[in-house]
Amino acid sequence: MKGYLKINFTGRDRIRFLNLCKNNHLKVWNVCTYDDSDKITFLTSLSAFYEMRGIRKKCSGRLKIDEKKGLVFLLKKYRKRIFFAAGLAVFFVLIKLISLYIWDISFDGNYSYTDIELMNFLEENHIHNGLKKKNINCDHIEFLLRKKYNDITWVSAELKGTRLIIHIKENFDTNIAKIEDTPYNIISNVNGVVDSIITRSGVPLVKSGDEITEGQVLVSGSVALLNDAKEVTGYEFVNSDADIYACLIQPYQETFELTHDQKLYTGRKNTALAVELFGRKLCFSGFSKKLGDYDVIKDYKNITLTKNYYLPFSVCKMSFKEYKTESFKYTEEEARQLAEEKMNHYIDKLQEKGIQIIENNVTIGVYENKCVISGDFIIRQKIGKIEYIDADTMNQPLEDGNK
Amino acid sequence: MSEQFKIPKEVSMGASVMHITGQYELFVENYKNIIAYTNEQIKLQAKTCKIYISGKNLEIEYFNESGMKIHGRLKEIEFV
Repeated sequence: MKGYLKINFTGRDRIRFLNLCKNNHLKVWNVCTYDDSDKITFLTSLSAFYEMRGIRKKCSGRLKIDEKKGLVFLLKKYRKRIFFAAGLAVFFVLIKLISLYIWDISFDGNYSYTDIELMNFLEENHIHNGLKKKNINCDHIEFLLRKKYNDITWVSAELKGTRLIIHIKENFDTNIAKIEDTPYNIISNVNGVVDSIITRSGVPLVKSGDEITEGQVLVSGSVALLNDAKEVTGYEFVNSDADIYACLIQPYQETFELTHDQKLYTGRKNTALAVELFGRKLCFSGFSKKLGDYDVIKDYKNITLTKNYYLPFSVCKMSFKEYKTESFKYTEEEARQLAEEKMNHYIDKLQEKGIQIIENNVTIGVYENKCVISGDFIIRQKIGKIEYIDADTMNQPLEDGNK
Repeated sequence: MSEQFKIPKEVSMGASVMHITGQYELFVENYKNIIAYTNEQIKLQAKTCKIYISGKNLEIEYFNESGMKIHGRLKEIEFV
């Protein structure tokens, strides 16, 4: 910032000059000497250079500035270029103005909720790109997300440069919220047979092997308090907590037509470049070829100054690929293979949710025009949802017989 | 006396201290003056002796009252 000078000293007493610099506490660095001449070059600051002029006289030598480096000298050099300076000033003002707004919202740590889903939710709550940073309340965003999505156990909204980064931690273990003030029961959300139950808090009302129906209370949050005579003296209401696994039947049916349309790319394509400014798209190049049906492939690239300094401009490269649609019919073998792929994809999705497949009773039938995949899976999964205990139930007095 | 009180010699006697990094870097503390400086040799005056540093393409990276950093291909250090 302050700048420095590359100085060339010529004179017989160059060693004396260096010693005097040292004794006068003048900062000198990168000292080079030349064997064939009585010259030394070195780097020094501007203030030290002014002080050196006194020393130079003592050493009867000459000081010459070879180079000036640094912002101070650059500004001095271009001080007469008004438009350049004005442009520079406008640039800095624009940068400052742009930095007052949010130009990118990104999510981190989300698995079951997609970025688009979360973005749509934020937009519904009037949080979007182009919003003033001072109008963004991170605590409020965190509160909204926690309120909307029960599975999200931890949210942190962070403003970094012109970005709003939302860090999320989801709960994979259980869908039962644990931090609640009101006591609750755990009720069944499915019809099936209890496979295992481990209760940590509350009174279990079912055991392994019991058939259960949807809405049935599995773990009660009202715990009876007994006296020495085993009589109920009152009830304590707790937040029920248990790991309950049940086996149930999951029906599965999927049908697809054997005749299907397939895209065949002709190889003809157009490309166009578009620039998005403040949410408005400007297309720069038109179509060079006239295409029939086509697919559009957009490749967006955000323009950033630094890692966290996003600008409200993005460049989009668009490719238009022409295709023709032709009808094909799957052979029986192909249809079965496709059906199996679809079924395996469904199984993978179930397993991703932590569901175990115990029995697969799905059959694949290929008919004249369609393929039907139907049957059911016997699955083992974690069940239960919370049902708050009414305030009336909690305040109900004990029956006389129990008093 | 200094040994008895475990006072470092560079403090009690003003002895020079040198830190050498490989063949290319040398840092000298406790020197008084530069006597001579060429590409092949730098002569320094210390409190008790003279130090001759020989080598090739010797450059003074920086120097001040506390020390001097020399860069270049070092060959020989001599105390005279």
